[in-house]
Amino acid sequence: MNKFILFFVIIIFASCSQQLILKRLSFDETKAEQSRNYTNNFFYNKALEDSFIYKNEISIKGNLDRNPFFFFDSYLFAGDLAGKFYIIDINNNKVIGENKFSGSINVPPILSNYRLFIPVNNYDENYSSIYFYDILNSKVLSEIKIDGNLDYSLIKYKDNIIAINNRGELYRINLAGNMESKYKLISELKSEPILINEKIYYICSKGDLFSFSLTENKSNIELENFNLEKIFSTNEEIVVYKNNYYGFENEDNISKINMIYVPLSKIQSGVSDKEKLFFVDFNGNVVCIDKESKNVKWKSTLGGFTNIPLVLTADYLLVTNSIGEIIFVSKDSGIENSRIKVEERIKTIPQVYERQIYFGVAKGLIKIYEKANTK
Amino acid sequence: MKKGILVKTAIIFFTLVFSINAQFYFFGRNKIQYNDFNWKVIKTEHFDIYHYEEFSELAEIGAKFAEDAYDDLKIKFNHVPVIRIPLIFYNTHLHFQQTNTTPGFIPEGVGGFFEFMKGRVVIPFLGSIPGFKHVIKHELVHVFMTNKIYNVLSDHRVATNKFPPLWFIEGLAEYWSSGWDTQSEMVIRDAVLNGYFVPYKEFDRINGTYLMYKEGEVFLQFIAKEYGEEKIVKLMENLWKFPRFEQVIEFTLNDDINTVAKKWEFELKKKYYPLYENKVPHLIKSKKLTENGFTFSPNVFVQGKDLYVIYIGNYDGYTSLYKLKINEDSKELEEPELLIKGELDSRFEAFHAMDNSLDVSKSGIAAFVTKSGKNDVIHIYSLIDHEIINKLVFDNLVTINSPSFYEDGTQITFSAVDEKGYPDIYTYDLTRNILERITNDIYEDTDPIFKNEGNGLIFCSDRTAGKYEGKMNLFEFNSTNNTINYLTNIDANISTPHYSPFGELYFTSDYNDIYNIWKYEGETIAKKTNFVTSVYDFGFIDSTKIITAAFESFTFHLYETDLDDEKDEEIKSIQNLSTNERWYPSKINLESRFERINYKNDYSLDYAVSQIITDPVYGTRGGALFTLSDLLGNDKYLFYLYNTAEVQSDILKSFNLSLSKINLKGRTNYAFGVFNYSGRRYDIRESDSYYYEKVYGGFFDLIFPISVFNRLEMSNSIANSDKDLVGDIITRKSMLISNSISYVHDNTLWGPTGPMDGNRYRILLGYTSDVRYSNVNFYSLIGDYRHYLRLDTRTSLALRGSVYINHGKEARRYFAGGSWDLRGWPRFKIRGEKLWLASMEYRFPLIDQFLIKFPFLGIGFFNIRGALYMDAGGAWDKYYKETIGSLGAGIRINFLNSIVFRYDIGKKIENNFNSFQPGLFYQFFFGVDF
Repeated sequence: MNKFILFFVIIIFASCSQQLILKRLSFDETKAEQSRNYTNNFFYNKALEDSFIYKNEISIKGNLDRNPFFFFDSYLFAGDLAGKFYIIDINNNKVIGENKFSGSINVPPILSNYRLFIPVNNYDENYSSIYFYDILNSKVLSEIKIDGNLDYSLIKYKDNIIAINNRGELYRINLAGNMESKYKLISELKSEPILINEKIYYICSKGDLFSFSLTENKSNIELENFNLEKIFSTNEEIVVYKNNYYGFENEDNISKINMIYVPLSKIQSGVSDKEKLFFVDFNGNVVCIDKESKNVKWKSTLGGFTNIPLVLTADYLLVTNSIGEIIFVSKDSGIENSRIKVEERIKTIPQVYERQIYFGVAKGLIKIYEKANTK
Repeated sequence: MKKGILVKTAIIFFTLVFSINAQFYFFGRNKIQYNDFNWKVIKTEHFDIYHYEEFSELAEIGAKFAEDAYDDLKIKFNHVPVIRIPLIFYNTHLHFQQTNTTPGFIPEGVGGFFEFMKGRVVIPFLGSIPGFKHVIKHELVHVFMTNKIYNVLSDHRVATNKFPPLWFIEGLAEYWSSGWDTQSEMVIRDAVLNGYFVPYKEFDRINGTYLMYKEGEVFLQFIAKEYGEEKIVKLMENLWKFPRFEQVIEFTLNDDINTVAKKWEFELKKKYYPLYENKVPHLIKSKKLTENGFTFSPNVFVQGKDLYVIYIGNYDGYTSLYKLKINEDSKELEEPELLIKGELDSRFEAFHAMDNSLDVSKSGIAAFVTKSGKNDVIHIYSLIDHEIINKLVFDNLVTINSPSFYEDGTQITFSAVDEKGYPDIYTYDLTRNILERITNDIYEDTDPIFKNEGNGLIFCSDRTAGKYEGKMNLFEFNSTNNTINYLTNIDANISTPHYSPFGELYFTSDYNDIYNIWKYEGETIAKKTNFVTSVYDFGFIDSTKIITAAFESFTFHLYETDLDDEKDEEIKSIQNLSTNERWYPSKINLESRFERINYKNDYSLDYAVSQIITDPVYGTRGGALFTLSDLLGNDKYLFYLYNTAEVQSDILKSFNLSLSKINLKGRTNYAFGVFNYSGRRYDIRESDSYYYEKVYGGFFDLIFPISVFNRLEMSNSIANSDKDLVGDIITRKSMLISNSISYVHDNTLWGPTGPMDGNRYRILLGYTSDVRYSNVNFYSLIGDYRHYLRLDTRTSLALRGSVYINHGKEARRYFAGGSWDLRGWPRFKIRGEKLWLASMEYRFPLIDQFLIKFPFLGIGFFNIRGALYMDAGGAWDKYYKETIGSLGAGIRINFLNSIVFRYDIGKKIENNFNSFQPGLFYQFFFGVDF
């Protein structure tokens, strides 16, 4: 009888406890994180040279926020808005480990030596938490409490993890999972910050551009009274934009920036390679601008509501609209080459990894498309 | 847009006792489909625009507004709904009131609605194109918000039934759909200055009121200004995070809610208190002429030596025509005299108090507008003889307002909206009975008056082109050359022009402020009053003394006041070069991109309910109910399936099902269907016994509304009924044909828990016959009369007398007992083929507000009402048995405006009303008062 009760107790405990991240996880530490992006510029410097066909989908609990993935070796790490964190083996597209937190994960965790820094916006709390998580032993080693929400990506800078909350505060956390220091930025941030060398650039709530030096731990004003909205960078050039104006300049000459008109209604996002800048508005109008002449090389009207940032590869511009389409446009001509169409709303920025494209859609699915041809 | 329409109607609607009630099975007013609309659908990129043929032009304009709003809102919300949005347009409020997309009655204050079940947006055109644009965007904010919030919650896998409070929902719809306007300014200004501004913590107190809309809007404006516009969207995006919305606000703004609320109040006081420096309240400068209720449209009338004001008033829930003697020597208020009682019968179905709907000629003839049947009509009423002397009915004019007599009373001018939705100016020659249309375009032309010179009209119109495009300015129609010219061209709205006894032109305008009275002086206009809240209309006593209808302390009343001697402000009447250009709103391009098709019934599921129950006596049983309707709600199907088997072998013979179709499209509503019912029935003839019955057949019902208040109902059914009375030993077979006809009247006015005024009755005659076996043959007679005697505004005496008779072979029994009729007595306690009931109930307000404040939550109960009652009744088959009854007291509360809870205490009376039963009975039930 006692054995019978014990059996039931174990069953009950097993069903109530969190599903543990599997210990069989192993990966090649010499391979770096890929697709991690601190520049807010989603440019993959390789050609796709192909169209894409449906390969597989992975079912997860919640939906995904805009930029929830990173890849390491043959693993995909993702956190969903229902507070679940997943490690997915991309060889077979199976979830090999997951863990549930009370809240939501809006930005991807950071991996450091078999340990993860998992940012969680807690449910029914005024603070969020960065859980320092030991993958091998499946346990939380420490919890670092951060005021407000963590809506901006964590940044790995030397031996620190940098977290910026929605209150305009910057936290430095060491790789042992301890908070080292906290700094007040000028104000709350208007959009995602970027990292260039040892400086974090951010747009404050009034639209001014500031930099925060991670060596001196203080903010400096870079552009005042520009009423900027968003920022990204490429090759140490800073690109800023607002409504239908943009400007770009090297880090050293940022104060000389000129805002240039672009024939769009309101810029939703931009992306850049060495020679060209691309912008899209909320109505699916895309323009390509030659960086040197600052002339519009082409303009294309694709339609649909575009609220997902542009992605650029060596040959295509990927324009995603929220009604379930990723349109592959030739970066040289603006002509549509192919498109992926799904039934659900697309929730994330498409991630290009090796031969595949990953993106999250509504109903808690990660869709995987792969190159149509085998070459 | 006519100033004040929204604010006036909203305030009346939310403050007075309800004049609406659902059209439930027994009584209720009628929602009449007067028009047989020929529906079309325009398919745009994101919308299906439903409109009828006559309204095509304005529907195309509305479609463009909707697409423009969509483009704006998708960026504001950073989100789009992925489904097509159905938008249903009506050309006037009167047509809108006929919609079947919602089963209830639509009061005049409702300018449109978003309906969750099918995601429909239903909007009337009220004459103003900017107003149309505003309402379309307002409703689309609801669509986007609902969709966005659903997505946020489902993204985080939290329950999707969580929603922000109503002040946020409506406040945001107002904030993102229009700029701050004169009405909003006036209401908030008045609330702050007159001390009824409701702090954030007490928003529940004004839930659903117009004040809540405006305070919600101002609160969100404050949040955007103080904390950033992006916080508004963040409030929705953070909704998943906390159980209470207050926590969401605190987290999103990173500020304590009390601090936020205090800062907001401080900002408003800082803005409005200095106004008293140079503006004056009506109560300080003027003599208030009316008390209680609401009063509008003052018109001065001199009869002999006596001075009267004729006006539209609502003191008791019914809007009516009143007359008040002005006694300038006395400080006491005169008692108003009721001239025409409105809203009790179909002649004066509804007064439009919010419009300028009354004028009085010098000879004592009043012209006033009411809804009467399908359209508005103008009644010509003699103030001398106290009788209606003419009724002007125009088939093609749907709504009418602002009638105004020519000086000699032989002609009348007014504005009206035709079937196309055009709001234009007309004149009518009362001697020759000739109607002449003066304007014919989409611009909102209103408040016309005859020029003193006799060669045309002066009116207000939003046809202003150029710099002040769309502003309501003053125009002159010259009848000698049929031209329209600007009298003013200013960056403001003008309304209600009137001539003074000396022939000077005055009007109201919101130039730089809320509405005050201005004088037209040719090249300039001069401000002649400087009140802190708006003047809506006015009439002259003499050249300097006027009677105003003004808004103050959240009510509309009449005041006697003097025009200022000095000019408070003077500006040029033409501030922008008059231009002959015309502005025209853009339409969607039907030729190249979009198409218009004929509407075909597009059915979708309204709801599906299923249930399986298990009980220890009857075992497991289950059933389901499905309803389908078309997008316009004209055609409905109901399918009902239920099984009452107690053992497996009974399953096949125990199916109960019915299929019905209900058609509400035309004026005559009908329903037909088939049914099959079988199972064990409780025999109310003999207590505690059951019989098995199988009935199958069909029915046809027809309802013809004679007016809003009266209708004829007809019901026919044929059914095969087989009964097993004792096991299978005694059986009774019959083929029943049942016919009945009823006449129903209902003009009651409702309070929070039931009818308060008016009367209602039903007379039914029926005959049921077994045409095959002659086992059943009986006739039916039902008479049910209820009268509600208003003792004062909130107190009434309700009387009920009912007789129910079934007489003949196997006549069905009626039954009574319980909270609905004979209180204290158990249900089915008295039963018989004949039954009578009588009730008398004194209904009075008991507790106006009852607040409970827990540390974590506050709950408020409002309008708790009391009742003292006495019931009596008796039932019999062949010989009368006894009269029983009860008397006692009870309390009633309308919970969340959706259900009425009642608790009664009393004593039962028995032995032919000769003795009380010992002890008291206590009874809790829910449902409205009889």
